[in-house]
Order: sequence, then structure tokens, then C-alpha cells
Amino acid sequence: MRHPTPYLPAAALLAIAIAAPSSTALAYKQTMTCNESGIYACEAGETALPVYWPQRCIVYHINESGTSDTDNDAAFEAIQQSFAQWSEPSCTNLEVSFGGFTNEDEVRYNQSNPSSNVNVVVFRDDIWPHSSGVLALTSVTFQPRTGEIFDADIELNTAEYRFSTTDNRLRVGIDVANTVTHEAGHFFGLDHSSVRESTMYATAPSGETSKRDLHEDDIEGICAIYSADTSSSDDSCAGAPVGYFEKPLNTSISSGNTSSSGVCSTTAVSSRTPSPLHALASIGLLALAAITIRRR
Amino acid sequence: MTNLLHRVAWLLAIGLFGAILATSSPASATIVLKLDTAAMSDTASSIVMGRVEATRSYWERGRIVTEIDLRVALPIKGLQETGAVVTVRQFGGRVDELAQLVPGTPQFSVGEQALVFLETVAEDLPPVVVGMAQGKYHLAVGPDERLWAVRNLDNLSLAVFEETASGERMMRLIDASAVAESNALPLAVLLSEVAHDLKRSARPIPDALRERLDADLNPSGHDFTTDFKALGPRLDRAQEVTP
Repeated sequence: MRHPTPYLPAAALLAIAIAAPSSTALAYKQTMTCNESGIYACEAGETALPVYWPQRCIVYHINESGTSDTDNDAAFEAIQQSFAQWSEPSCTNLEVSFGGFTNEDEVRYNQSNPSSNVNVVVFRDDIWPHSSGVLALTSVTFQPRTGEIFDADIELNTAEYRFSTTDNRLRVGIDVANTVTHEAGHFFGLDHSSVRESTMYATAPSGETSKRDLHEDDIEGICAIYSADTSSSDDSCAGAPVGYFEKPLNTSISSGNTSSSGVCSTTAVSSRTPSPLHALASIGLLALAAITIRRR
Repeated sequence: MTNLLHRVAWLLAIGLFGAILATSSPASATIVLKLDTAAMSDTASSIVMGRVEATRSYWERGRIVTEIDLRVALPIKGLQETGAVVTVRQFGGRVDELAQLVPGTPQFSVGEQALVFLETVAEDLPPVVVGMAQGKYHLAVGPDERLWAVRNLDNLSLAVFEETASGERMMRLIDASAVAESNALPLAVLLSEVAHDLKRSARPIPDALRERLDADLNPSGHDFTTDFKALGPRLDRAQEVTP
């Protein structure tokens, strides 16, 4: 015996899929504050917003331990070049400053003492604390109601994989500059791009090093977030401190829930931007419903 | 004619569902080794199917940690028993006015049914999902009224290692669309793959899983995996025309 409404499950699946957040119409994309569901679900009254650094001068540090995988000087130079790429386009007022080395080796955000935080790039030579198989990972701390980024850190899994800095394509294992340039894009708030040649595209040819440099689409993306035409409260890295960043002796960081609590309105706001595919899916949903009714 | 309409509607639904999932969900990417079912089965210390009963996020030494409780409905590998609660741990989440995004971590919602491959990264801590979002399947009723296993890898860059002609080991990144056909498959197919992997590695197949396979595996004889493979080019085209 047939189920009386054989297409309803399919329709339900389509509805679930349609309810998922969609891609934007642009090639580059920005990372958003929240999703429709899951642990990053938008709360009532919240709209998904792009994440961004509120200041234009962004300082990062490199963990002094480096890695045993490759020459440390070369690895450190590769990281600095990777970050510098993102502030070079003339259409952006983003300034990126290497603040020096640090003994800070933890990815963390101290709410009670924000000035003690450091944006760090760290090689994990000994223990990789995440799922096995992860090569590189960027963690971004932000305000979910505004999208303001407070802290971002990049971890490279040298415990399980070999990284290198060589220009010899045949000897490239995992290229430090290629990887960090890509991860730094996420550090600044960019998501994947649909442009194949871009640094922020998810696919790369074998042994590639081309993501060391920015593509036109990457430049368009970074300039959309940090346009040279906009001003900000802190537009220059001229006074930014440079030097060794000593991990604070008192490393106790608040545990448990944060003290602040948000005020929620009761209006649910959709963050979804309709796309042609979603429109097509809607048509498909209607067609399935029509067929179901006709079969009855 | 009616059967043809029926079949076309199913294929349309499956194709659109896969295509939409592959183009949805804005998030950043984490670079992670591509793992097939066999590799995940080997890596996993436990594999369970169950219902998400609770999630909680909290601060731990400057990081937001999220724990997910799953009530086990079907223990597949490991020591868990039916009805037990398994806690899964992952970095990232939201606590009031701060969020920490760790791209590539799987998403869990209370009430959803899921199948997860779990590994232990620290002896004194709950397990994590194998291969980040690769190791978590959301379960949903599919167009054929059976359970389907669906996963979302949009925020992952998958890495594969290949040998060059000169014998060098090279890394290549692929995106989730390259593995679209493994991102939505009948649960029975996934379970049979896992059972095959357990058998290959001389591990016991739990009675509950064996019974499940006998009851569920493709009673109609229809090969939906073949349907997905046939839809592959169509999915690719759909993705290319999506802005």
C-alpha cells in the first residue's frame, strides 16, 4: 500500500534545505555572525551580520617556538608576507602590523582583561588539540550582535603534517605562506570565494603556491570590508606597539558563563538572501505539492 | 505515467536537496584531511546513532567549549549501550554576548537525530567528532520514506595527498561539492559501509546493527546511490550557475 502523501517527505527535505542560509550574489563572501540553526543560531531579533575588525590597525604576533618542520626564519618571514598581502591594495585602509614574537601559545580570549589578549599564529609541533586530520584552523572571537571581531588566532598542525617554505613546487608539502594567506583571509572576516583563481577559493591545484598572492576577487572582498573611503576611530598603525609580547604571569581566565546578558527582542529576522537556486527549489516544492494533491 | 512522475519528482527533490545543501550555509573554512567512511570508522573509538538531547556552551581557559549530549539509539562501535548518553566536545560556540567561531566544527541542534564518528584526543575529556564536520551525519526522512544521512561540509576545505611522478607527496585541496554523492546517502547504505569496515578490521558487529541492516537495507531493491551518481553532473551544473 502506498503512503497517501508520498512526496511530503521530499517536500519537507526541500523546506529544510530552503531554510538554510544561502550564499550571496558576490564572488567573495564574508563570514557571518550566526546561522539559522545549530550552536551559532541567530537569537530572536538578531540578523546575521558580517564579522569585521572595528579598528583599521590590526596587530598580530607569532609564537616564538616556531616549528621544527622548516627553517624558522623562513617560516616567520612567510607568515609576515602572508599577512602583509591583505593590506597592500590601495582600495583598503586596513593596516596589518606584525607586533613581534610572543611566548603566548594558547588560543584564548580574556574577557576580564582585553588588553592582555594577543592575536597569535602558532605552530602546534607537539600536541594537536583538535580532530585529527585538521591542517590549519582559525578561531575568531566576536560580538554576535554587531559582528565586531575582538580576537583571532591561527593554529597550524605541524604535529601531524609537514609544512615547508620552499619555492620548489616538487618539494612543496604544505606551503606555510599559501596556508597562512588563506587563513588570514578568514582572520579578517572573509569566507570562501567562488572565483577559482582567488586565494579564498576552497580548491587549489596540486602543490600550489599561488594563494600566496591575492587575486582581484580577494582584493575586492577585503576592500568591501575595509574600504579606503571609510574612516574609523583608529586608522593608523603608527603608534602600535612592536616588541616581544610576554604572556601575562597571571593567566587565570574567567570560566563559566560570561557576566553580561543580552536583551532579546521577540522579532525573528531572517538572514537569508534569496538566490536563483532557492527560487528553483521553491518552484520544485510547489510542483511536488501539486503532484501530491493530484495523486489524491 | 504516474510512476514516471513519481520517479522524476524524487530525483528532482534529491537533486535540489543536494544542490541546495552544497551551496548554503555561510561559514569559513578549515583545512582538513578528506576521510572516507572506512578511514573514519578506523579512526573512531566509537560510532553511535542517537538523538541530540542537549547542547551547552561555556568558557574554559579563554575558549568557548560546546558539549553535546546524544542519547544513543544504536551503538555501532565502542562501549556505549542503547539508552546511554554520550557527550561530544568541540571548541567554539556562543555564550551570551561573545561567540567564538571555529570553522569546520559540526552543527548540532537539540532534537535532531544524528550519526557520529567519535575519537578521543585527550583521555580525560569527552570525545570529538572525527574529521570535524565530516564525521557527523544529520538523519532525516528522505524522498523514499526511509532515513537518509546528510552532512554539510560547506565550511571545510578537504585535503588529499597524492604522489607525484617523481615520488613526492603533494597536497591538493578539494571542496565539498567534489564529494557531493557521499554527503547525502540512505542511512542503510552508510550503516552497511560501516559494518563492512568493522568486518574488514575484524571488529564485532553489534547485534543491534546487524538487525537494523537486515530490516532496513534497501527493501525495495532500488539503488539510490546510483541515482545520486547519475545526478552528479546535474549537481555540478546547478552549482556553477549559482552566484
